[in-house]
Amino acid sequence: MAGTVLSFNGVSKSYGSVKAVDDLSFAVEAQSVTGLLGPNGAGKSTVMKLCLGLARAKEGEIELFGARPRSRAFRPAVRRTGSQIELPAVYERVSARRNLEIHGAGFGMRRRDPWIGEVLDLVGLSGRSEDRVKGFSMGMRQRLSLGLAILNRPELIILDEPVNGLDPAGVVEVRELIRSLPSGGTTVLVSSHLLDEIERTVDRVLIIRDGSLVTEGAIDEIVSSGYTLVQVARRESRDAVDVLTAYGMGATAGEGGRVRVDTGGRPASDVAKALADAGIYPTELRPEHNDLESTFLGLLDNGGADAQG
Amino acid sequence: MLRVELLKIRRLPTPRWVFIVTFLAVLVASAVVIGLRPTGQDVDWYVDGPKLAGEIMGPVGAIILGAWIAGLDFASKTIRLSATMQPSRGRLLAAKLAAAVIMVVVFSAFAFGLAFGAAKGCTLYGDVPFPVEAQLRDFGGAALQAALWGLLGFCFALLLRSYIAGLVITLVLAIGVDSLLQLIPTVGRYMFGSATFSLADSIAQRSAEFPVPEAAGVAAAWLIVLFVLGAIRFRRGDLA
Repeated sequence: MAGTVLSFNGVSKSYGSVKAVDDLSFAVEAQSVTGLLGPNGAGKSTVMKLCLGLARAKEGEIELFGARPRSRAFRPAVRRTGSQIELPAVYERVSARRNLEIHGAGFGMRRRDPWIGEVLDLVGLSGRSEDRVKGFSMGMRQRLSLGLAILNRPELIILDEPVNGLDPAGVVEVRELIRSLPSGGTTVLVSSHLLDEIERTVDRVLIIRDGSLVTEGAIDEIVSSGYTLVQVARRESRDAVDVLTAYGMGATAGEGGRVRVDTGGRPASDVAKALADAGIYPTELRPEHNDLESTFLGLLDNGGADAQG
Repeated sequence: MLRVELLKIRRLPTPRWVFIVTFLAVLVASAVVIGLRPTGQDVDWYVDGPKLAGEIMGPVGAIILGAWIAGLDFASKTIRLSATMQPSRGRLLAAKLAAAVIMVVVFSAFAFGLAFGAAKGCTLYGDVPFPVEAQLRDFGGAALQAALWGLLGFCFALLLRSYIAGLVITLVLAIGVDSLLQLIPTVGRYMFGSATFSLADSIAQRSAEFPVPEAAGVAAAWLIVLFVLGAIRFRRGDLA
């Protein structure tokens, strides 16, 4: 990782009496794909607008590429970003190519810049580039909106629900595109209500509710149940339970030689060592994961107390 | 950013349609004048048709264009893209204002230049003399009036952050409300319409209702107050 691209420190933002973001702190590391999760009205879009200076925070500090809003350095920092927030924002009565040409002009691109064609290709619109956007499906608008977000070769891309309305093939294409961006030096902050999709796309997640952070961390940490599954020979499962219990780990034998171990936060290698010392050699040893959906719902149910504790 | 705003004007269809409809309106008015094949009519009969087309389409087209330039990005939600492309809101607004000034001036010149040419053509057809200088002043005054209404449309759309709201309010003001309020002696003195009429009349060397400095001051006050309020809202508010 090459440092922090974006950080929030105690940021709050209200719309009238409604607090959209409440004392929010987090950081997005360079060249990562970070997912922003939360139920409807959690403040995800507001967070994205705050990042770009489209909305202004009431309290707290935001830094984008080390620059704070209202500072001179913030404007060039914003130009290093690309974004798609809420619904695809495009000019309906002209073609996809025209949309890219108009926005490209703002970044000094010429009308026939070959990069515009490449972007159309990347987002899968090269075959419909001359068609009017008015006739586009929601999925095609999403693709165009994604094209607009990457047009200036940004170092940070902020995407709000980028796979909304896409067909399954489109979802895979967009996922692959997002996953490929960090290798080119780009950082991605993405929100989606499709938790399965987020789980496959991001490295880290931030879960917010009512504008506050519920939990954050690497996706593996977030979905980890804290248990390790061990596969030993069927006849050795009882012995394995005894050995692990003696080591202070909670273990229960399952069917077919499977043992479920509560490591109490110790690494899985401790499980392997304890068993090997007792002459029991596991054929498989892997951390047990929940899916992101159940983790997410569990965190929201208990207010994230477990995760934050 | 001015380049982007001008590119939008060139590439998006609304401005093109405003020009086309204006051209057709003047063409149809001229065709009606010529088609009636009158004899023994004076110059006004030949001039009034194309001029009326210009007087309707000039201010209406200018208002559409002014409101469109200020409100397009809000209507299409592309304001977020524009504001990240040019994060200085002052510069973004300056680009929009410059584009609006250029556009309403060019359009007003086009509408009344076309009407002027058509009127001259009609008088040639009717074989009546065309007083070029007097008509030039007359059409010039009307063009200035149209351009000022276009700028008012820009200011209303900016303040309301809406193309449609800016367009409707300015059109309603231009078509009826302003004229009605002019009937109230004290209020009428400060209406935008009466100020622009006086400016147009003075250019046409007709007797103006209000002196030029006062009319110019009233028109400028309307534009400056609305623009400043819109600019404050644009610069300080969230672009959500």
